[in-house]
Amino acid sequence: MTAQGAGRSPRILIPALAALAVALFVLDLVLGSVTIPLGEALRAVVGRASDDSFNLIMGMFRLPKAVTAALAGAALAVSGLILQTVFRNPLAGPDTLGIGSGASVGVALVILASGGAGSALLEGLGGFGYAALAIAASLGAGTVLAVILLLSRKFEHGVTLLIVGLLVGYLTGSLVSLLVYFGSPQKVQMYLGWTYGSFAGVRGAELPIFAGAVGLGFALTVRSSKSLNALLLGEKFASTLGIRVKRERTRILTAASILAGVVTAFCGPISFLGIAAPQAARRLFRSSDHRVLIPGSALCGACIALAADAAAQSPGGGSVLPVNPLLALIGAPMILAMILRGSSDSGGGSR
Amino acid sequence: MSGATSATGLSSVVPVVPVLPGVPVVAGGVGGPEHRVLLSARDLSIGWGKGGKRTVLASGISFDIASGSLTALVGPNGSGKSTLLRTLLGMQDALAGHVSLDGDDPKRMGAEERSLRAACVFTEKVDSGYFTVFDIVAFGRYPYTDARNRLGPEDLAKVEGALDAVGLRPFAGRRFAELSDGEKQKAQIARAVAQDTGILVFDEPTAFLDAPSRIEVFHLVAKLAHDEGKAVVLCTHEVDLALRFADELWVFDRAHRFEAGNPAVVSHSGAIGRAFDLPGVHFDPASGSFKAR
Repeated sequence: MTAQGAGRSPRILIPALAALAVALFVLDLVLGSVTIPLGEALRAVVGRASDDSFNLIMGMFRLPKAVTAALAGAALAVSGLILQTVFRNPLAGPDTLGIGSGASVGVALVILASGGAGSALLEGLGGFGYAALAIAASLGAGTVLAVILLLSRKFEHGVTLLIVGLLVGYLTGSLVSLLVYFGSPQKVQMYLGWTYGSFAGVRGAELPIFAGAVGLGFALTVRSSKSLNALLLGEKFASTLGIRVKRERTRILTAASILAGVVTAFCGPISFLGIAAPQAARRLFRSSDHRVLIPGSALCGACIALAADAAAQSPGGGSVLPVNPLLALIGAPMILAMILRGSSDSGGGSR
Repeated sequence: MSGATSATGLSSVVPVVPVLPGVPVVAGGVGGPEHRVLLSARDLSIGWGKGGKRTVLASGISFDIASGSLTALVGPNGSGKSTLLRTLLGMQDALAGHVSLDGDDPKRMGAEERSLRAACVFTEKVDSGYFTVFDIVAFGRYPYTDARNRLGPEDLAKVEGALDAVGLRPFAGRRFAELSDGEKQKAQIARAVAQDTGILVFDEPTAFLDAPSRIEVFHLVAKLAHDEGKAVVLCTHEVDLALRFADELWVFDRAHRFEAGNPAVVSHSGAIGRAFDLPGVHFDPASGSFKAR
């Protein structure tokens, strides 16, 4: 709206956030088991570092990883924003609603149950295997989302939704366990490695598929920013304003499924980012206008993911920490604090 | 009474003018003779369910509601008031009969089309986040704005006019969530006004409000009907206020009978007492309020 009395100016904040994201992106490029000085790192991005091994490390590993982290963070954040708005619940997110677990089932099916060709599919066919993985994960995410949507009609919004998400998580978890039980050790190990969550899984060849799917999700979301604003105030409210609620809701939740599903397929189940980033954006911008919140959440998500990925590099040590436990370490207390405060200032939805 | 409405119920005790199908019965109101029928129904049955398993809440409902009139629906909970409102707006299927929303069947038009003809305010509390009062009222311009929802000069004028109409202009920049319940309701009404429709529908606009705010809201709603020429329909539990402000009173009772007419006439007919039918309470037509026996 034109008169955002309570909001802070997005014209200053969005470029500031973008600058922060770029800084974190560069930090993520510099940090790693091999020390590459800043100047060399930046030259290596365009393949012009003096040391050829720097060019190789940058082009093969660090650049795709940083791009993946930024895109994944942005995608999960926007997915979380959509879910918080549609379910009118500030605690909704791709992981709390069990949507990540739904995507896991899709991934487990592709990795573990795809017969003898399973691992060959992924390793041999490269891009195609990843596309299959992405589609399976999106379908898994979409299925869980549809179930949650149906169930959410039956109860009041609030913590109940999280309990349902938890139960869906158990259900999908047991399905995955069964698949793991019957899977071959090699495939099981592959699957378990995936569950730790990492932005390093997407290499140059897969990156276009990943970026394309995330771009599609963003495009669908941006098109619906007007409906999202109205849906925040309720479906009946939106419908009296001339919004075709069912059609719009389907489109928006499809976008959320694609965004959460694709990220889960490529990077593993990344927790908490999807809840935290839109919350951060809301508080930062003091706005509920999705025309501000969509880019705002995406940038916040990218910043959090890049910071987590940089922190996971444990400077000096040779080892790389998994991203997921790191995010959970910060995210879980944050959400607990929100519940304890009654989320009165959340601006995300009803209590 | 300005702008006449008339209706026939299942068991009309009050003599009301029966409506001949297709012939709008409109008496010229006090303010001007140019009132026209905006909302009408013929032999309407409302309720739930399909096929064999259906619950009929009321049937044989026929009426014409003209611009410039305020129609109030009263009755105990579960008697079908809200269902009738939803059916009139095409948000729920009619079991039988026809509804005409400014000339067309609301079920056959899209949400966009409907939102240009009727604006509604529902009881449900909304959590508005960081939206300001201005933002909430500007939602009324949604049917008119483009995909990016930019407000043009005309939109701004309508929003400001609506804010003035409810006296909330000084609050425009405040967060909606920080308003009192009465002010929130006024902002919602302003949003409906900004939507610039001929028909306004309010579902219990005074729920959650304290006594002075209730009177204020009724006064405002009556003003919209009589001064702005809107066709206003509302359902309410405030029988006394409905008697004071409405041009037409419809009473739903627990047996799903439905009676309509001039408030004074309906009040003296005993219909209100029958509708609310509680052993320890009776309705006193002289004072227009409920009294303990």
